[in-house]
Amino acid sequence: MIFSSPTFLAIFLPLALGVYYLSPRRVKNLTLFLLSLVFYGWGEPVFVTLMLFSTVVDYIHGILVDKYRGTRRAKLALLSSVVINLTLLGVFKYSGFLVTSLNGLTGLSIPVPRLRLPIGISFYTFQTMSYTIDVYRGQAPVQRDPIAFGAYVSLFPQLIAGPIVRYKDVAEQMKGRVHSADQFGAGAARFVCGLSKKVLLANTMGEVWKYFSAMTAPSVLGAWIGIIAYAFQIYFDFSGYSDMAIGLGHMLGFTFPENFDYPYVARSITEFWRRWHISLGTWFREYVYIPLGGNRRGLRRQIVNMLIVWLLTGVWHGAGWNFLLWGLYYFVLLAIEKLFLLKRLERGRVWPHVYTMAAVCFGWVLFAMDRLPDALRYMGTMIGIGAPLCSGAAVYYLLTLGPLLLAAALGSTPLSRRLWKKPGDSPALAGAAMLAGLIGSLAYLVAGTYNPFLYFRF
Amino acid sequence: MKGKVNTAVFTLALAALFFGFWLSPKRVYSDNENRYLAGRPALTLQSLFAGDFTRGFEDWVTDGFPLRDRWIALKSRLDLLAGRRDTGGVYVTKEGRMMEVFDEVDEARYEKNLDYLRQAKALYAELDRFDVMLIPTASHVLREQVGLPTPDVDQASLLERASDLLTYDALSALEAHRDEYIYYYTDHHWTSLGAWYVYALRDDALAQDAFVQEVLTEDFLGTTFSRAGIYEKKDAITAFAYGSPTVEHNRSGAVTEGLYDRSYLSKKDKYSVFLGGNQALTVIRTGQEGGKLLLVKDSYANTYVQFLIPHYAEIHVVDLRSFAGSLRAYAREAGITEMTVLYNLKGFSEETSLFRIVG
Repeated sequence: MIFSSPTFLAIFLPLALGVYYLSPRRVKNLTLFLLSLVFYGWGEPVFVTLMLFSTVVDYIHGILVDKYRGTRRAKLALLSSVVINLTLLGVFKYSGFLVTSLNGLTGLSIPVPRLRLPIGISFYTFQTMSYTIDVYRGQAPVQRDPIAFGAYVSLFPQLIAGPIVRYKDVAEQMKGRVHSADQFGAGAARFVCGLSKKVLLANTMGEVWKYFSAMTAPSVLGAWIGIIAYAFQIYFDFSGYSDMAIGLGHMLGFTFPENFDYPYVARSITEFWRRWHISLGTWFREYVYIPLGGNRRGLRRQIVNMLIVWLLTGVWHGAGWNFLLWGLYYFVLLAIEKLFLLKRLERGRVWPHVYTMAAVCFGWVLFAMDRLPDALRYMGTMIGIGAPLCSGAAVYYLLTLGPLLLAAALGSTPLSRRLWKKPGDSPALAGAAMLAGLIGSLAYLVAGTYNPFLYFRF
Repeated sequence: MKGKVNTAVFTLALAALFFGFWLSPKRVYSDNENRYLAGRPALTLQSLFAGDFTRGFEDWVTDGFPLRDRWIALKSRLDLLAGRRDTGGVYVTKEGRMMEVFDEVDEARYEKNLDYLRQAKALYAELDRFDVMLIPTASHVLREQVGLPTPDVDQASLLERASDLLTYDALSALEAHRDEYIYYYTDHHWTSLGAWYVYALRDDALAQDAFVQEVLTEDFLGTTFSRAGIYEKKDAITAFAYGSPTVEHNRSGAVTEGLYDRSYLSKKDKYSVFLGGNQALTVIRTGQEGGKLLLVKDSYANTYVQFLIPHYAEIHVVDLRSFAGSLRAYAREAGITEMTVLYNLKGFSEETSLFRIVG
C-alpha cells in the first residue's frame, strides 16, 4: 500500500489511527507492530516473512553483541549481522544485475535469477544494521523487548521509503511516547503537505518528463523542460514521501529526523548532498565513510573513501550500471570541489547556483535513463547538438504548465515557508489550507484511477 | 489552538472518507467510463497470498469511491484553473470544445495500414471505384481554437503521405468551414454537417436541401466529455435523411426501417443513433437505383453513410474490427460494384485490423 492511494486514506489510515488511539498505553507498541505487518503484508504477503526474518536476526544479534560486549565474540556477532543483512540485499536486489553483468563481461551464460525486489528492503536492512552497529558501539541500548524492536523495524510510516531512522534516533521513543493534539495536528498538516507535493506536483511533473523523454527528437527547450520537470518530480515525490512519513510519525507520537532541506537552493554539489536525502547520507557517513578513516588519513585516502561511498550510494539507488555511473559522476564532482572548486564557489553569488542546478540536472539524466546511449543523446540535445532550439510542444508545455512550474520552483525554496509563516499562524487558514490540500489531492488520486474505456462500443 | 483545529479537521475528514465509502451505494456500471466497475473481491488464502485480494480490494475502493465522477470533474477543473489547456487527454478550448489529444503517432503502424490499403486497391482493381477517405480529427482542423501551438501531430503531413490513395481533400473542405458546427463539442466524432462538407466534394453530390434535416437530440454528451468529466455545452445530433432505406445487421434477418436507431437517444451513447453503433456487418437497402457499395469503415462513417443513400441500391457496411470471414468472398457473393474505405485519421493510425481488408 502506498500513502497516496484511496485505500490508504479512506480505509487503512482511519482504522489504524482509531485502533492505535483506542489501545491502552502498554500495548501501543504491539498495536503498531501488528498494524505495520498488515500494512507491509498488504503489498508483500509473502516477503513479509523476509522482513520478519531480518527483524529476528538483528534482535538476536543485538542481544549477543550486548552479552559478549568487549570480547571477540561481540565483533563476530556484529559481523554476522552485517553479512546476513547484506546477503539479503545482495540476493534480492543485486543477484540479477551481477549475473547479467558477469555474463556480459565473460560471455558465460549463467542463468539469471529472476527475483522480484521486496518493497522497502533497501530501507529496512539499513535500519536493522544500524541497530546492531549502534549497540556494538555502545551508542544505543540493547532492546530486549521483541515487540518494541519489531515495531521499530516495521514502523509503517517510514518502512517503505524512509527516512532511514537509525535505532538510536528513536530508542527512547520506543519506550514511551507523548501524544498530544498539538503534535497530532502538526503531523496531520505535514502529512497533507507531503501528500499534496506527491500528488499535485510530482505526478504532473512526471507526465511532462514522460512526454519529453519518450520523444525521438525533442528540442533544446523541450529537453530542458523535460529534465527540470523530472528534477521536480523526483524531489517532490521523495521529499513528499518523507513529509508524509514524518507527519504520520507525529500523529503516532514519534519524531523522525528530517530528510530534505531545500536541496535545490544549494550553491555546490557538496552542499546539495548535505540537503538531499539526509538520512541516507548520514548512514553512509557514519557506517562506511568514518569507519574507513574518513578524512583523517590524508587526502589520498580520503578520495579513495569518497569513491567507495559514492559507488555504494549509486548502486543503493538501484541495481544497474546507470546508477553506478551516477554515483561515480557525483564522486568526480565532489572530488573536484574538495580539491579546489569549493573555495571559489563560496565566493560566487549567482553562478554557483547555476552550476549546481545544471550539474544536478545532467545527473538526473543519468539517473533516469537506464541506457547510456539514450542518456548521452538526451544530454546532447540539452546542449544543442543536432536539435532545434524550440518546438511547438515545448512552448505549449512551458506556457500551460508555467504556473505549476513556478509553484514547484517556489516550493523548492525556503521562500515558500517564509511566505506561509504569517497566514499559516491563523488556525482557520491553516485548517482550510489542509482541507484544500486533502480535497485537491483526492481529486487527482481518484482521477488517476479513472479509466474510461471508450472505443469498444462507441 | 492551531494543532487542535488541524486535528479536528483531519479527523473529521478521515471519518467522512471512511464512512462515506462504506455507506455509499456502489455502482455496478459506469456510463461515463463505459465499463463495469470492480466489485468486492472474495477473500481466500490463495487470493491473499497471490496478491489478488489486495489488488482487487484497491480496485474496489477506487472504483466505488463516493462521488467518483465529481472528483474527476474537480480534477479537470483544477487542471484548467492551473493554466493547463488539456486534461484527461482532451484539449479544452475557451468555447468549451473538447478535442482528443493526438500527440503521438505509431509510424510503423500507420505505414503498414496504408500499405494494406494499397494492396486492397490492387486486389479490388476490377471495381468501378475504390475510394479512400481519411478524415482529420478536430484537434488538427480546429487547432487554432486551443489558442496556443499544440504538441499535436501534423495531420496534414500524415495525409500527404497517403495522397496516392486519397480521393478527396477532406482536410481542405473541413478547414474551409472550421467556424461551423462540423465537430461535436463533447465527442470525438464529426457532425453530420462536417460529413456533408466532405460529401459535397463528390461530382454527383446532391444539394443540402435534398436531405430532410431533423434534430434528433440536443442533449448529447459524448466521449471527450467522458474523458474530462466536465462540459460547457451539450451537443445536438442532426439527421440528414433521404428516402426510406431499410437496415439489416449481421445477417440476423431482422430488417428495420431507417438508418436511425432512436432507442439510443435515451441512453448515454447517443452517437449510436446512427446505424445502432458499430456492427460487424450492416446491409442497407436504399430503395434507390444504382450499384452496390462496400463501405469499410470505423464509426466516423456512421454519420457519413446518410449521404450515400441516394447513390446506391445497396450499401454493405463492414467494420473490420469485428468482421469475421473473407471480405473478398463476401464482396464477390454480394455483387459489389464500388468500394469506399472511410476512417478518422487518428483511429486509422492506431487500427490493428486492417489486414482483414485483403483477406
